[in-house]
Amino acid sequence: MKDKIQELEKKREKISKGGGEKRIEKQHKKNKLTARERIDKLFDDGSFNEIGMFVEHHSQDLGMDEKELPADGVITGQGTIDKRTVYVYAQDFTTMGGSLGEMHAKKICKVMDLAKKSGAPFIALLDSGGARIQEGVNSLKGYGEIFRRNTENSGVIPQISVILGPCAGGAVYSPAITDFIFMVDHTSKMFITGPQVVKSVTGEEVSAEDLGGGSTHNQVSGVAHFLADNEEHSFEQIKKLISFIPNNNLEGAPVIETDDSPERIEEELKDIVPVNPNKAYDIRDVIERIVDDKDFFEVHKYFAKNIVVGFARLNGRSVGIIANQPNFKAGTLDIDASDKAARFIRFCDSFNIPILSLTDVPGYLPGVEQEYGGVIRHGAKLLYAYSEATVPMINVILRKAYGGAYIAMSSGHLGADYVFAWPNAEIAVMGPQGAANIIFRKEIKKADDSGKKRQEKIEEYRENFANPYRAAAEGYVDDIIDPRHTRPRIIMALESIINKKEDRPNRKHGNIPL
Amino acid sequence: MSRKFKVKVNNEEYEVEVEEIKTAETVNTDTAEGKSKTTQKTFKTESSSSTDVNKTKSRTQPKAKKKPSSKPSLEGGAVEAPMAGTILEIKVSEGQEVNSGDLILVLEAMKMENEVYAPGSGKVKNIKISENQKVESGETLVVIE
Repeated sequence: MKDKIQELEKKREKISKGGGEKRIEKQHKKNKLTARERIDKLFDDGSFNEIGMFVEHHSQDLGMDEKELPADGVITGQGTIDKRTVYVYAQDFTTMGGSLGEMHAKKICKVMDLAKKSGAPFIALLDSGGARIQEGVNSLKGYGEIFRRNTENSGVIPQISVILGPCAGGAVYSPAITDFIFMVDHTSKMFITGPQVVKSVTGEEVSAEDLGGGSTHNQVSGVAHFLADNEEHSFEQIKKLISFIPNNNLEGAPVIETDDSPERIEEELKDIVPVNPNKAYDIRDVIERIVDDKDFFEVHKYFAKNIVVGFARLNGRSVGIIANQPNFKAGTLDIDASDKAARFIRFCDSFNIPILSLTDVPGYLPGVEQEYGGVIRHGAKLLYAYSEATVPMINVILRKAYGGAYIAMSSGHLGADYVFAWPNAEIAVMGPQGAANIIFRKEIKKADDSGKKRQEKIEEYRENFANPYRAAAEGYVDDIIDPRHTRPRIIMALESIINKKEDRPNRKHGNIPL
Repeated sequence: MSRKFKVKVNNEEYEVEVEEIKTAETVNTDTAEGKSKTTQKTFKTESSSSTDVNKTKSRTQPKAKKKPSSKPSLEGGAVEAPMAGTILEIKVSEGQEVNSGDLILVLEAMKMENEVYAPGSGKVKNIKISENQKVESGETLVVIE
């Protein structure tokens, strides 16, 4: 028996070395960790249980019969992060470039199925050149089966993709289906077709980093949600994200006790939002003063900055926050902002995370570019996502809420459970200037001094309509609150609806405009 | 004109594309025979830029960029209009030194006074707009060098 155990240990050791010392060194030189090092850093010490270490490929073509690929280029298994079970796969770039073959994919599918059955989050650590060409259509089958599982598991368990090297071609679609994509600056690359193909087809010359680096996908395309400056930083971000989300769609997120009193009254809140509606400010200053311990974890930080989304806690409970950002593009809603917010709302709704909206929106961004880009189609997603959500929803109108954007931003009409407004809020069909020009057009035209008359009428409209009392009189705003009392009021409301249950008619699924 | 070759190194197959270019344009003198080579492993996408990553202490902030451009270096100092609107106030003058994050101008759009900040530090080289001028989204307003 002793011999047998020794033999086992020997085999394990050999497989653990992946593609061998030389390739590991090469990996390190690129400032990249190996697949096993990544798992060690991400998981609680000694918690990782590997599954399928001895799996081998059985491809015979194109010289593959002579190739030995330890673990078939992917480490799969289960471990704990902050004592919570998480399933993982990590592609091993040192073993044939982390290329995906049939058995490689089979291992991934196995842990995906286990994650779903056990209701545990799933993390993919991707570092792969793509399909293992020698295995032909079998590797394509592998991708397809992963994509289908990503889709089946969507909204059942949280799925996280971490790009830690190249991720090219069809391979990008697995991360794209998952809930969150993490990238590392100058390490991660994602594209459907690489710079060489782009050049040969379109003649455009672009570096891999500019085409599909972390900065590009976090800022320009919005494909990725988080950007880190190295792998360790990325793992910190993942752990932080996990702390805000539940294990699956039947559980709630962990409640973290806090010393931050739910009754805290925040004096500074009365001065951050300028009363002058033309002045901008940073909405994050408001968010940080409302949530527990000023801890706001922003998602999609660099993309569509006119809307801010992210996680925080209120009295220890995880909430998803959606807030207009007056500091960027005047806080208007546009194509990207709608996409960003809608996707975030749907994540929160899938995983029982209550939604807090902070509204200060002048309207949808006008322009040919927006209309041609399909702002109707994209903007509709936001309305759809709010209307569809059944988690507790609270909205606080801080200042402007005009027109269609008022409806879209978590109005009671779309299903918000509580709508509060600050006393300086302006809730109306459009801004005073626009409204006065239309309603009093004739009067203004007839007046001797039409400029003065216009100003008078604008003031009159502002006085009578650009306030929260009209909407409150209709019951569309549940209460008008002192800004300083925002935190206690929100927490009281949240606690009162935390067990909210809402049924929807039976159907296969809705048809969200895409 | 480019031709494809299959090369076997260390039992690994590489697909190599060799393109002949005119001698005047030859830049990559270090590659053999003045030919530029585009090497692509059949199963790998190798990135050359990942070898030398500067570790910065501050957390990653992506450089301001509207679209990935083939010449990103030229765009570095351009302050662009975040949205269509009217220039309300210009806070800098040509030749002035500015730091990253300094207020450059105020753009009125959607009835909001949008403050536009310097994307990087340098000298204000060129102010392309004047107060009360209407600008388009993405238009270059000020160039900082």
